[in-house]
Order: sequence, then structure tokens, then C-alpha cells
Amino acid sequence: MGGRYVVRKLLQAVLTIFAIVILNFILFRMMPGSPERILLRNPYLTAEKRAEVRHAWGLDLPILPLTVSVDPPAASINPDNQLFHYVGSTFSGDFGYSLKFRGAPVTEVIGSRFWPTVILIGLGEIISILVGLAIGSLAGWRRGGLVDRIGSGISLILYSMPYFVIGFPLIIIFAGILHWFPTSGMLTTASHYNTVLDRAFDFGRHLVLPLATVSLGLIGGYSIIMRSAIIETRTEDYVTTARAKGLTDMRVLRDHAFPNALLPMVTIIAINLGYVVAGAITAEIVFAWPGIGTLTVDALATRDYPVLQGVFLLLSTTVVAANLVADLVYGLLDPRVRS
Amino acid sequence: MSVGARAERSFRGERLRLRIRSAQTFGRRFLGRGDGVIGLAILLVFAVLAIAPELFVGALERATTGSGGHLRPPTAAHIFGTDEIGRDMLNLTVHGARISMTIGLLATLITIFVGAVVGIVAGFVGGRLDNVLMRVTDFFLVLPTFVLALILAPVILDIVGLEAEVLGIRATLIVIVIVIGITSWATTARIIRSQTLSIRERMFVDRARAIGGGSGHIMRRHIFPNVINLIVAQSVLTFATAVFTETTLSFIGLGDPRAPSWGQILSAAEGAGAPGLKAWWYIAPPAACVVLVVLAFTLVGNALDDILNPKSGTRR
Amino acid sequence: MMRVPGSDPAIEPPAGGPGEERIEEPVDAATLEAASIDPRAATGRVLGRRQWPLPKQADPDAPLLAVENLRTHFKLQRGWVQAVDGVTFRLNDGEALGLAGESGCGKTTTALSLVRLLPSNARIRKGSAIRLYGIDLVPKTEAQLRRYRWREVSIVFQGAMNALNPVRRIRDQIAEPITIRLGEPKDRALRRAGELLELVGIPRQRGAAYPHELSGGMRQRAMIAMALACDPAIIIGDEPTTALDVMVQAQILELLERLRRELGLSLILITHDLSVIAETCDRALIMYAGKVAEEGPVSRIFSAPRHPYTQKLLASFPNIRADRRALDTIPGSPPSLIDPPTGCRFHPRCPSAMPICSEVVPPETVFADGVRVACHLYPPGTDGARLISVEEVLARRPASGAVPAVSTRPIATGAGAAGATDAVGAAVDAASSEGLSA
Repeated sequence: MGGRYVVRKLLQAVLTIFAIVILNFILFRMMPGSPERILLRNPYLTAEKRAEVRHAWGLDLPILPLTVSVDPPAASINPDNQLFHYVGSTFSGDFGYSLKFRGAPVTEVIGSRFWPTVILIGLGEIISILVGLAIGSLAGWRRGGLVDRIGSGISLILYSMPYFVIGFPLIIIFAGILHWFPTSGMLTTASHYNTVLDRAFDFGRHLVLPLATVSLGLIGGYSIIMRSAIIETRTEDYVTTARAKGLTDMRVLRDHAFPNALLPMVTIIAINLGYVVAGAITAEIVFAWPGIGTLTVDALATRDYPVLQGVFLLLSTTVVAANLVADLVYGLLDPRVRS
Repeated sequence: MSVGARAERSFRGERLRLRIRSAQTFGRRFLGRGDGVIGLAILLVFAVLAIAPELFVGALERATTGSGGHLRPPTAAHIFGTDEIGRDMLNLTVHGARISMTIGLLATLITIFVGAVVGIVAGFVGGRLDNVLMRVTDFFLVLPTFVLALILAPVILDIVGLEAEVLGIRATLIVIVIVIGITSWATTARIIRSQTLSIRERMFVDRARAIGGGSGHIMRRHIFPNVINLIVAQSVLTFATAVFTETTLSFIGLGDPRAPSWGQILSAAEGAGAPGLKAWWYIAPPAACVVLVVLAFTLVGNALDDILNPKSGTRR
Repeated sequence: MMRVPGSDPAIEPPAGGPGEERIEEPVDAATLEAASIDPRAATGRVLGRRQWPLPKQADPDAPLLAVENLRTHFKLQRGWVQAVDGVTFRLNDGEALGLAGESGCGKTTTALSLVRLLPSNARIRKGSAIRLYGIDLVPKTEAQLRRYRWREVSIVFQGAMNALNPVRRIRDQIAEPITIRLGEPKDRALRRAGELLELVGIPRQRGAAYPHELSGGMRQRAMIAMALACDPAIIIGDEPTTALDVMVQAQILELLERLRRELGLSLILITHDLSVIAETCDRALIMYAGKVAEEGPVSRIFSAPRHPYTQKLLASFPNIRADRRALDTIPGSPPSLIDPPTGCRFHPRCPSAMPICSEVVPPETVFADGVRVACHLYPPGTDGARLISVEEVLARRPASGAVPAVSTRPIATGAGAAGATDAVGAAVDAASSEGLSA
């Protein structure tokens, strides 16, 4: 892969993350009276104390590095300003403090919810990519055939279902009626485990339904996109060449159509990650899965902005990083980009 | 009558005939798509429900006007059952159609308008402006827009206040509309831009420019009519996404409890513990409606895209 | 230029010749079954440069390829497109046949019908026969037909950029049919791919390249190397030089010409460029609207075209030796093949059309010089023309005077040599001595 390609992609990702941080700052400043409204609720605070707090939090500094006023016309450059402080502290890993969790650092609050979500989304992605690509390839390759009609029909319906709509019937059937799996949580509350295996088993039982929800929610989209990617390749000349070589239909699909159809999928899977996160949030709510999703909704309900901002920053950085990885993987897979 | 006017008239007549003929071909091709027709039928039903819900189920029931028992399964009087405060589920679901579809429609209008303007201008003007616009578009494409919506919505709500109304529509709903619009125009912009680029390359734009039309004139009279097909197909697909997003946003608590969209009803069901109580009737009607509407829009959108989008027309 | 090597009994190698000796460690069971040697094949009728045993059902007396009354139609919503409608011709071993005509006249469909590489809406109609060594391919199932693809009939497509898979290395794409069709192990297939690349004038290290890393001419060479991979009985060139610039075109034609001389290829060359046919082919078959207009030795077709369409076609092409100012065009365009003109399909555009032309389909007549024409201008009796039946078309052998010395063929490199690679090896020397390189 060309070094310039990698550098360009890296630069783009860094710039995007930078823009996200600044966007985050602007959103934060857009809120009425905030953050002082929240910090300085105490009406008995003296003016000196207020100034002291303002100074301690850096709120006495100008907001932007460049202040322009129209009347009188003036412009001043402020090397010491809130934006720079914010960007600086953000990049040094300081995301501020949660309003709800008694001032716990946002990084800590989010960190405790990080892995459950990673496991849920990670496994869901793997399952749905495998199943979705398989269904989509077969459906597209035998367009109008049995696999296509059944597979694409189901895919379209799944694609039209918000994750929580998939989750509800799963709860009612498999937890409510059949009692196979628990309805909510990640581990049975107040339970004692004799071995690690017991714990893992309990975790697994709790994981099945949310994971099924996320996977089903993703399969539809992946299979539909893969189907149309495969259909595009069917009319390509190199597929005719492969047929002319006397390859079996399945071999043409596997060795020629599929690798080419896979290329756009890499990018789409990465771009899609943002929506996956959104879907996973709703799935987590349905199953009370203690991940980023439930944290986000709690923060929303209590207007815990630092946590919301932290979540936004984390998720958007992840998605940008995923896109970067996708671009690099794309470069590895597609020799035309590589050289 | 001057010769020129007569020629103009016959030219117009010819153009009208051409339009009618292409509309006829379009109609035939669309009717040939079974899935698109089914989707359209579903949409018509929901459109009727959305336009006049009172006609079918009476006024929207509120907590104080609930007509049935608490969380009762379907009976003859309430064929969809009731929710936990005694409201008739059929009543709620039908009224939900109006709210969900209105939000979807408004969000689609914003998305398509922003996307089309950015796409056409970027594609037609090109150069540095194109570069800047596409960088911004890429930024919004990469951004997890849904998460952005999550923090945008409460921020905007806090600014305008929960009780505010804009043009008679409650601010909470407008916020959802704006948030969907802001976060989903980028895809449309990309698609329209690439189509604009290919049209610009075609001869007749050069001719129009040679005759002396300004940029605005060319964009309106030559580019726009050629991307309108794409815009229509894209609008329908965007509508599906908008309904989907609205449902999700309402579900996680950004909706308005007093304007029960389907997502809002599902959120209430979740809050009342309906899944754990096996109260399927509380969930199934709004959920089925969301799925049906999104599915129908997707079917119609795909059919339109296949027929109208020159790039998907090459598929065999 | 006029070599028609092939089937003259006088030039057959002795029994038990290389055609049999070269068979070594074939191949997977399926291919073996299809390819078990017919004892009569050992007499060496269709030997040519063939390295592999003939299929079991092969008829040693049959011509290499006999296409009989081929009718390939496409189903559209508006009706059936009669893309190829009653085409009969024969290809002799070692011969190069040029298929010419305007685009949409059915040349490519004719060629792709041979191994049925047709879109799903295409049907080969009843009454058609495609006999390869006497084996009719039309009734074969898809799975049966697969054994003939690339192994017996390979194709050099137009525009190698699209015909080569962009994400796979050149050498892997060349080796692929060798492993699949011939059951060779991967390493040997790759080695042979390298040899084939050198044969077409590409250094073997370049085999590691991807298609986009090669120039247009190189890609086309790689495509030709790929077509040679299984040492097929027939190579179809579908406009192999159309997408290339003139200089490269000339190089590719030269390469094809050289390979034909050295390997004795049997070639079907599809092109709308008549000069390509004039330089490369022994016989030309001019098609119009899915039918044969005229067919015969290149020398006769080009010096004395009989069919008005052939005349027009020749006049509309720039010829290096002719006056460029006098370029002619054919008025009108090829007709719709859903509802083709009655009678002679050319009559709406024909300068010499007569009343009968719109009513009666012209029968095929043959002249003493071996030219076959379907035109009412030449009823039986004129210039010694006589009606010719389908059977006779297929039975005709090339005039013996046109048969060149057989020594141009690379077959005889002695017993015990290392199989297929030998002929290639010999040719590689030739290639490098010609100074072809990247």
C-alpha cells in the first residue's frame, strides 16, 4: 500500500476527530446558561466565591481564540481561551465529570459500561456479517431463485424493523412464555458463582437474546447490500471470462464475483457502524443490558450532558477509527488502491 | 399568429405529448413491479389513516379520556386491547399514523431540500466550492448521526423550551424533524452531486451555456429536471429512514408523550413493562405499523430507483 | 498469408504420434471420463498441435468444428430477437476464420453460442447443431458443457481490462483453468502460467502483477496467454484488438499471427475491422442481421466480393492500399431482429434490390472458387454458381492448393518430453529472439 495513501487517510481521520471535538464544544456552549447554570445553582454563593469558582473552571476566559465585536469594531486574539482548554483537556483524556454520578469522572462512568457494549456489538457484527453476506451472495447470484425470494423477503422485513421491535417478540416468546432465557440484565442479580464457568454460563444466557436482536437487526441490511453488490458483478466481463473458463457456478461466485463484491462491503460495514451503535442502544434498553446504550438513555433523562458528550465523543471517534481501518483494509483487498 | 409563436406552440404540444408518453411508460413499468405496487397500496392505506384518523376511531384518547380497563387484552369493544392507563390501542395506533407520518414527511422535505441543493450546487459549480461542500458532506457521512441526534435533541429542546410551538406543531416534534434533517442529508447530496456531474458533461448544458443562460438558470432549467427522478426515488427511501429514526428517537425518550407517535407508544409500552407482562397487544399494533410503513416505503423506493435511476437501469 | 493447415491426410503424423504421447498424468476423474482416448483418435486425424486426448465420443472423420443451422434467439418483453438465424459454417483444424459484419449482426452471439456463454434469456433453437470433433454440444447440459469450456474452446475477450478480474494476480488467473480443467497441481500450473506469459512476450515475473498494473497491450497479451492455458482446440478472438491503439493493435495481431504459425492455432476472429481479417485469416464469413451473407477464402472475398453487403462493407473501410478519399458508407442501419425484413434481410438497404428480394429468402449458392453467397443476384447457373446444401457446406474441405507445409507446427519435439510445456518452451525461444519484452 502506498505510504501516501495511508498518510492521507490518517490525516483525514485526525481532522475529522478534531472537528468532532470542536463540534462537541460548540454544542456544549449552545446550551442556555450552561455550564454556569449547573455549577452555580447555589443562590447563597457570594460574588467572590462565584468568581473564584468561575476562575477555577476557566469560565472567566474568553470562549474563542478570536473575539470580534461589531460595535465598536474591534478584534482581539486570545491565546488563553476556553476552546483551547477544552480541546487540550479532551485530548489528554479528561472528559469532565458526570452530573448524575456524584461527580465521577466521565471516563470512569463510560469505562464501566464499555465492555458489555463492545461484546454485544462485536459478536453481533461478526454473526450478521457472516450470515448476511452468505444470504446476500446466494440471493444475488441466483436472482429470482428460491433463496432470493425467501432470503430477500426476510431480509427486507428485518431491515424495516427497529432493533427494539425485533427484541420485544424475542422477550415475549423466549423469556416470557418459554422461560429459556432471562428477560434483562447481564448477570443474575445477587447470585453467587462457584466457578468462573458458572459465571460465564450465566452471562451467556443473558447474552443470547440481546445478541440475537442485534444480529437479526443487522443481517437484513447486510444481505440486501451484498445482494445488489453481487448483482452488479454478474454483468461484469470478468465473470463471463470465469464462466468461459468452465468454472462451476459456485466457483465463479466464490473466486470471482464475491471478492469483488466484498470491496464495497468493507466501506459500507464501517459507515454502518454508526447506525449499529444507534440500534444497539435501543436493544440494550429493551434488555436492560448495562452498556453504553442504557447509560446514554439515563444521561438523556437526567440531562447529564458531560456523559452525553463523552459518549458522543467516544462513539464518533470509534466510527471514524472504524472508517480509517476500513479504508486501510480496502487498500489491502483492492490492488488498484494499493499501488 | 407569428410563425415563431406557432412553432413554439407546436413545440410545447410535442413536449406535452412526450411527457404523457413517458408518464405512461413509467406507469406501465411501475405496475410491472409487484413489490412496488404492494408497497404503494400499503402507503395509501396509511396515508388515509394519517389524514383523517378521527373518521375511523374518534378523537385521540388521553389519560383522562381512556375508554377501557388497564392493560386489557383484545376484546370485542377494544379489538387491539388497552394500554396501562385505559386508552384504546386501536385509537392510539391510528392516531400514531398521523404523528409518525407527519414527522417523516417534514424530515424528508428538509433532508431532500438540503441534500439536493448541496448536491446540485457542488456538482454544477465544482472547483473549490465543490471541494468544501464535499468535505462537509463526508464529515456528516462519517459522523454517527444518530448519536449526534441524541445530544442535539435535548440541547435544542432546552433552548426552545418543552412547551414551545412552531406553526402549531409542538417543538419536541419539530426538534426531531430538524435533527433527522441535519443528520441525513449527506447521502442525498452525494448521490445528486454525482448525477449532476454526469449531466453537466452532456452536450446540452454546454449549448445552454453558449446561448447565455446564467448558472442559476442552467441549474433550474437543465440540471434540476434531470435529477428530479433521482430526487423522487431518494425522497421515498429517505421517508423510510425518517420514520425509522423517528421511531427510534421517540423510543429512547425524545418523543412527546402528548403526541403519541408509534415510537412513543412503544416507549410507553417499554416503560409499563409490557414485554415482561407478555402484553403483546400493547406492542404489536404500533410495531407492525412501523415495520409495514418502513417496508412499504423501501419497496416503493427501490422500485422507483430501478425505474428512474439511470445508474441502476443497467442491471439485467 | 494463405495457409490453411489442417486435414489433408498426406500431412498426418504417424499413428501413435505426439497426440498420444503427450498425455501425461491427467487429470481429475471427471475430466478423465470425458477425455478417455478413442482408439481411432490415435490414428491422429485431428492431431494438430493438440496436447490432450480427444473426448471419448469424438469422431475422427469429423471436421474440427461444424456449426449447422445455428439459431440463437433472445427473449425480450417485446418478442424474440433472432440474433443468429440459421448460420452454417465449418472450421478446419489449424484454420483461421474471420467473422465480420456491422455491430449487432450476430457475430459475437455466434461465437459465444459455441460454448453457450449466453445471457439467461438466450435460447439455442431446435435444429441447431454445434459439432466439435463430431460431438454435438447443443444437447449437452451445463455441467457437461463445462468440460469443453476453455479446455476445447477459449476466448480472448475485447477489452482485457474488464475481462480480467481486477483483484487477482495475472498468473493466478492464467493458472486457474489449468488447475481446474486439467487438474494440474497449483505449483505446476503457476509454472506453466509463467511459460505462457513469456510465450506472449511478458517476462514471467510480471505474472505477479494485477491487471491495472499492466498497459493495455500487455493486458491483451496476458489475456491471450490465458486463452492458451489449456491448449484448446479453438481460440475465439472477440474483437481482440478493438480497444487498443493502432501501434499496439499491430503488435497484438503480430503476436496472434506468430502464435498461429508456431502453435498452429485454430482461430475464430470476430471483428468489424476487415483489414484485421485480411491480415490474419484464411477464410472470411460475412454476416448480416443474423445470417451468412458471404463466405469464402479471404483472397477471393477481398478481391472479388459478390454480395452487395460485402461490397459495401469493403468500400466503407479504409484500406492502406486504397484511396482513402473514396470511403463509402452504407446508408441506413441494421434492422430490428425482433421483426426482421422479409425475404433477404439486407434488401431495405441494398443498392441492387429487386422485387424478389423482399419476398424470397435467397438460397445459398456456391462458386467454383469456393465462395458461398446468399443473394438473389447470383441464382444457380450464373458464373457457374450452384445451390449448396447445409450438408455440403459442412462436408467441404479446403481446396488442397491452399494447404501449406505442415512443418510450421511445433508438435514434434520427440517422445518423453515434458508434456505441454514443450511446445511452449520451443516457442519461448522464438519469442525472446523476437525481442519482445515489457
